[in-house]
Amino acid sequence: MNRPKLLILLIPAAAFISLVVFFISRLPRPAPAVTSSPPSRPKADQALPDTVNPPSSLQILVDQIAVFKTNDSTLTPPSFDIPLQIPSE
Amino acid sequence: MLPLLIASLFTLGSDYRASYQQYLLARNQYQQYQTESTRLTAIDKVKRVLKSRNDWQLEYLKTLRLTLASDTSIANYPQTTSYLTLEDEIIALERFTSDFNSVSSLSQAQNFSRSWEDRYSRTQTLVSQTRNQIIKARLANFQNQLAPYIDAASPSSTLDLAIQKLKLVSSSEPSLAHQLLLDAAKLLAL
Repeated sequence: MNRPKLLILLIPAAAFISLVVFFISRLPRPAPAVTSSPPSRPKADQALPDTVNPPSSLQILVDQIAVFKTNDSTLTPPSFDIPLQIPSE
Repeated sequence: MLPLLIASLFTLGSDYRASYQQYLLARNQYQQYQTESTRLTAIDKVKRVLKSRNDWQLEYLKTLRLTLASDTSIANYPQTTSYLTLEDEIIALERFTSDFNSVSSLSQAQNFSRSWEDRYSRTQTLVSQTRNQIIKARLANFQNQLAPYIDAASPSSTLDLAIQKLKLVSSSEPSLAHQLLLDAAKLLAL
């Protein structure tokens, strides 16, 4: 008498578990880690075809001129307290 | 060599300031007490300040001479004149070193100090001229580096404007020359 009752409970439970396992196995797997190259730059940023003087080196020169100091502190002369005003004996 | 000289200048500046403060203290004590002990201390301290002042100026002129040689290659007459005059000044200051070592009285120190200060005042013009020559040589170096970009650029009104600005660089004083150079470089980079 207990056996049919048990079967009545077990069969739907087994069916349910089978369904869950089936659907889980069908779920999409996580994508592999991305090792792709960085996204390509917009067309305007891309290097121009080779020329005699690449723009980047000119920009470096512009930056060097911009930071150049006409009052270089290493050339600043010493400053003295003059005259010394040495007392007489 | 040059970084060592610059570091040495910093130390010599500190030495001078310390010896000047000690001299002021000794001078005040001598003027206040007028004793033999304070007189001898004042002579000792004035000797030290004369020497440290001379050492600092001497090292500065040597640094300036070296920078002039390295940055300009002494390529023209004014630069050659500055170099040789700096050399004369350096020799004169080296002679002062032995004078200051022989100081044995305050009146002797007064004479040496006055003579040194006269020389120092005259040297200021030379120093200013030399600094200008160094800065202008550095700007000229930038201008030379811009030349290939001008040669490679296509004819345009922007290029003409950049060329006009560059033509004024050599005849302008350093800060204006720098601005003209920067303007021209930016125009070329457009």
